Amino acid sequence: MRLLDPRQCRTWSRLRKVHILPGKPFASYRRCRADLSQPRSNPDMDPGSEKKESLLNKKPIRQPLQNALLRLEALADKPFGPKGNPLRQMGTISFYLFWLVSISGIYVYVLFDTHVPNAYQSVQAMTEQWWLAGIMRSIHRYASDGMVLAAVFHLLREFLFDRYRDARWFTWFTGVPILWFLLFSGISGYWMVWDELAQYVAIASMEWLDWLGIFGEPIANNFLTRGSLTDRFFTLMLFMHIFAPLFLLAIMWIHVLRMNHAKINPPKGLALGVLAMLVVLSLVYPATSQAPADLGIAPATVRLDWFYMAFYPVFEEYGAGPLWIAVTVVSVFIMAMPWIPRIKLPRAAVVDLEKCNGCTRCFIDCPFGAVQMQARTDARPFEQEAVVDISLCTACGICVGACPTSTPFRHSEDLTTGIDLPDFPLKAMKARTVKAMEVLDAEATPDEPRVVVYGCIHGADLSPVEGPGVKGVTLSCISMLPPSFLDFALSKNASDGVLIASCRSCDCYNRLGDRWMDERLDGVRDPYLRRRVPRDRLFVSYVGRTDVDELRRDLDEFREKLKALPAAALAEEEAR
Amino acid sequence: MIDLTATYHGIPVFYIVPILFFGPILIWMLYMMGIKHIIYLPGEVIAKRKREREEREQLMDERRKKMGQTEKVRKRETKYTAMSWVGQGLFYALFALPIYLWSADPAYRLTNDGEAQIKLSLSKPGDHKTLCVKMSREELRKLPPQKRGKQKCGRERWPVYIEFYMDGELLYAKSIKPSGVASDGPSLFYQKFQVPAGTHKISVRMRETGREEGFDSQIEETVNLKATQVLAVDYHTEESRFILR
Repeated sequence: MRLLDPRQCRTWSRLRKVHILPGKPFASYRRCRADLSQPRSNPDMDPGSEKKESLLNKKPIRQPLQNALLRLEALADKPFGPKGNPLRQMGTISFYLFWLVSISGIYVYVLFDTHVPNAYQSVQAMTEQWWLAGIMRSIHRYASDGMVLAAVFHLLREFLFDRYRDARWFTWFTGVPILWFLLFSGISGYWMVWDELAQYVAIASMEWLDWLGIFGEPIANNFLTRGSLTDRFFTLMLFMHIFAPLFLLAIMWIHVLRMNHAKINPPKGLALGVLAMLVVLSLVYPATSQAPADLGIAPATVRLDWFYMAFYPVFEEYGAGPLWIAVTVVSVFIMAMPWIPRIKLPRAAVVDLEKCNGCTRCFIDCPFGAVQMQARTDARPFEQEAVVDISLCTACGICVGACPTSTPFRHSEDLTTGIDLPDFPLKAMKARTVKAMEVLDAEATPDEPRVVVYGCIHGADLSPVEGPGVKGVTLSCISMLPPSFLDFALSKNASDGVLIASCRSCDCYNRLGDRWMDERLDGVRDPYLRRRVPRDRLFVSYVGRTDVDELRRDLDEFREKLKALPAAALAEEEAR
Repeated sequence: MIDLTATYHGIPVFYIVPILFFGPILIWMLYMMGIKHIIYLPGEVIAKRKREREEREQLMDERRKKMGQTEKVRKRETKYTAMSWVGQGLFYALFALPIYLWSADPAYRLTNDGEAQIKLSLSKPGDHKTLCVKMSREELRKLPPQKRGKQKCGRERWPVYIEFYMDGELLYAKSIKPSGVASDGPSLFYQKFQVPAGTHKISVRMRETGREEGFDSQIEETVNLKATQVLAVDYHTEESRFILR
């Protein structure tokens, strides 16, 4: 086994410090220094049992909320299908709404007059042309509101499912400035209408900023009375509204930078649906302005956009100072959440150069970019070798499933592979499979088909469905399972079928596990399932943690179908 | 005839002209600054990527041919029915509902009925704390030529003290520190007051020197404020007096 040299880790840390973006300098340094020679958990335990424990058992509040959300998502799966389920696509919907806001914003900007006395009239003229400019204005507003809604839902979902610690801290951390810039972009847009709401929001925002005392003169003086607001300052406000979304886009890009195969576009059907919803909403309830702004009159009542302006009543009630303190404390707390407490992870994957031929499959498949390729450091005749950045590795095992040397058919005593998990090695996976097959063989009854069920710690618990003729093997991710194991499980005449209890489709805790497994089974991703494996003896069931009943139903259905098949066809084929 | 000055009756032609002129120039500049390197990768990179893509596609083609005759692994599939469309519509309605409810409602009340607003604003440097001293010839000779002023003045200024009375009652009094690290900038002040509408006698006094008593500038006026009216009391530096607006 080849562990990363601590000196090399420090080099990585330095590089990351310099390049800032994809780094975790201090943590990687600490973890590199950790003694990796001592296993932290028993290989006979469930893979990542510490992680499982920390994820599930110590969350008395979060787990019921997780279950509720899982049930809600199961409900949305029915009309949309798992791939188009909007509740799992809130991140991509946010991106999509950003583009809608940008496109409608460019259109609105062309028709907008930046002179203070004409700004309101130009917006009103757009509203009056209800069939085009009016729709564009409404989409501009409602898509912005929708973006807040989608982004906040996305944040809460990631929190509930504990997808913000480990290697994902960077994505979580950069999500907070996204919210700041999103709010600022929206609020500065409301200034442009220059109605009573714009007047109130502009003055209150400036008063809030003035509290910092970093500006030469109070900016609120620009709105002191009639005639105070100049075209020059108004144009500056317009530029702020244009540049804030550009910064927002830059941070959104940074937000997904560290994710391998990051998905930023929703499925086509969902995108069309959201657009249609916005158009209908714009026609039914067009965005309108309030009375024109008049700095000589203080508006008594304003119709706030509560998605962007919910904190203005707090400002009115408690003043600028307490609001600044609250915003700072809440932001810092949210940003620090990945370390409160820090997640306990099993040890990172390790590369065995004896077996690694630099095929890049683990590098391509790793969802968190933890596997990198570098020039060969040994004398073997390959160009590259894989190296694991342990600060990014979540020990999901997807790389193990991707490695072409991960096969149970080899007879060497110490079964090793090119890349392996120290706490749940391939050897242990094979031992568990063999044990399951032995139990099935011992408990076999002639009428009941024997089924090995592979599941994952984040999916449905397999113990309720285990029994005579059914034995489960739990992995840290379903994609940790190399397809050769399916071949193996069916080849020794010890089982009649294999059920793969993957996570719900498009809801893999490790982001891409279900997708990779699907593609491997379909033969479009390496390592793919060999052709000789009878497909009718395999079944994929997409089940989440709350879907034990569905798993049982799928299993019963599968076993019924297996009864109709001739016994152990693969073994016969092998015998031939 | 096209109205070039049109601002909101149709497309504002006049304002598009700069975009049409400067837009391409800006795009060209961005292109030259680096976008071209993103669009046009070096030849060897393009060739390598093309080669890899072709190899991958060839592999997948072979694979598909082989796997084509193989049965697919059974999976739990989603079945779309008429009810799916109804369900989708329902979801979109649920997504639109909060936007409909909260994008402009409920209204938020800022002031009570019959209230007006007075804004008190000031940007005024206080007097220097130390008096200016005339420089002697000897002292001037020691200084570099560009620093030879006739007087030597300390930078630090006195805070500005302000009092605001309405109908004889003191509503606000504050000593405002000078801005700047060296306390040499103007004292800055901005404050809003919600007051009942009606006739009021207001008076604002300001002291910019270090003295204990007396004021350097003041205004006393009787004003008739209507509900929601904004009255600004601002110190006009050029005229060295408070003005009501």
